Amino acid sequence: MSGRHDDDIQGDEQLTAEQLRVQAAVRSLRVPEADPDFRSRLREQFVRGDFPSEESGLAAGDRVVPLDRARRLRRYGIPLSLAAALVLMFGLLDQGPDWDVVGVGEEMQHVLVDGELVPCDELGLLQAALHPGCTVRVPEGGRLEIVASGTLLLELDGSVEMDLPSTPGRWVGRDVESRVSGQGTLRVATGPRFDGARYRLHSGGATFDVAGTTFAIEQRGTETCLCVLDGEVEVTTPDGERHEVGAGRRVTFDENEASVDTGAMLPTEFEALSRLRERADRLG
Amino acid sequence: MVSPPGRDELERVRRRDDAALGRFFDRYFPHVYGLVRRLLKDETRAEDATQEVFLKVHRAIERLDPDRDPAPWLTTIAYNVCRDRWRSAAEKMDRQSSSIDDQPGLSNRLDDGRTTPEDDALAGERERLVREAIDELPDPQREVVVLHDYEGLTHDEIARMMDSSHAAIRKRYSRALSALAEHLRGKL
Repeated sequence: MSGRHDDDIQGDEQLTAEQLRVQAAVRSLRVPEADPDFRSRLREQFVRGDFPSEESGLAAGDRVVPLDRARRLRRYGIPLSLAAALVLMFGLLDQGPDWDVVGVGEEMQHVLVDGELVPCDELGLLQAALHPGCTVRVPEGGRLEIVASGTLLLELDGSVEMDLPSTPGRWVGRDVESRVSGQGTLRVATGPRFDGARYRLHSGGATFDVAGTTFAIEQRGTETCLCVLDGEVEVTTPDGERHEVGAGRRVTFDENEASVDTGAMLPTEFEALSRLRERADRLG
Repeated sequence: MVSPPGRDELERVRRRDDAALGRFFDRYFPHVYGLVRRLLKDETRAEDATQEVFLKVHRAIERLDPDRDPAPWLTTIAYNVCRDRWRSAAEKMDRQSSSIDDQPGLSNRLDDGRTTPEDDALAGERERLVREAIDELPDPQREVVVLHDYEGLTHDEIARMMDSSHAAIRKRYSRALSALAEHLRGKL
């Protein structure tokens, strides 16, 4: 097979005889063939740029994807500059709230933002430094709390590094994503304006899908622990298994081991998340 | 995997030349459909997803890099479309509802006019059993088996696609093979 990596070949050598037989059986499967009518119709659609649109209610055969800009302008008569202004205005109206700093650990003197030291005694400077997409790192023993009004409250506790996500838009761009790493705890509480949005977090080789909840992800070495206070978090662990973790529950897993441990949420996190929930409700 | 077209041909595709688009489709449709069909298990869902893939490709065709093989780009789009469908509420309800598709192999044995030429012409018992076993895998495990053994991607490439690590993907692949072996034990 082309593109084989040395590690892949070495990995195959570690497979058992039974696994190798199964692998051979899988690789010998014939290519699935499509229904000829379907293939023919789709080819026509692709060449003509003529795909049916569920949103517009147009039926198959109606031209909904213009083939070039000139034809689009002639058909709809919208000046390009006006169309651009409408798109820009929509983008501005759709923007989610900005991130605000609402809490800083007493002993913490600085935060790293995109690798630059930002002092914590000047909240205005810290506020100005934080923006969607920046990488925020809280030093060991430090704590930082930031909020996107009514949407997300984040508490970075300990040596946590995360890519600050954009906040969910009002109508579109409701799905946001970020990465978390380090050796600390990230606590998250969603607000009423988060409803209908989804927040995907990547941490410790796992993926966490959030849709309205209060939870904490703690990372110690190669071990990750998720505790959920309310709502539900769907996590895909490094072994590929999917777990739905509900209110009051916990899942712990190691990045390098196959085992996943589930149980009641940690008492310490119950207290910390309860306080976070109260603050989120006050901030609105 | 088919060899990529030349630069001049890809430039024509970018310019949406009808004939070049047709040749592009003919070259890559089997690859896209085959991948989607393996990932989604069901023919109807595979057709919907394949249509969505080519819609996305058509909309983004002006961004096609004529100096690079389009196959990895197409693979990524196809994988993302399938992944989004797994995670949609409608997809979950569809999978949970009792239907003919939930009975491995049954839909392939019924003559409803939509059985594939593959099933009709080939339908070796061994192949049917292997396909059924793959379909029974949890989605994340089926992903790595399809992408590694059918698509030919390395563990590193799969890890990048799934935002995971090489070690995690290797482990997931090993577990998938073990699950397949257990399912097929005594049957092959």
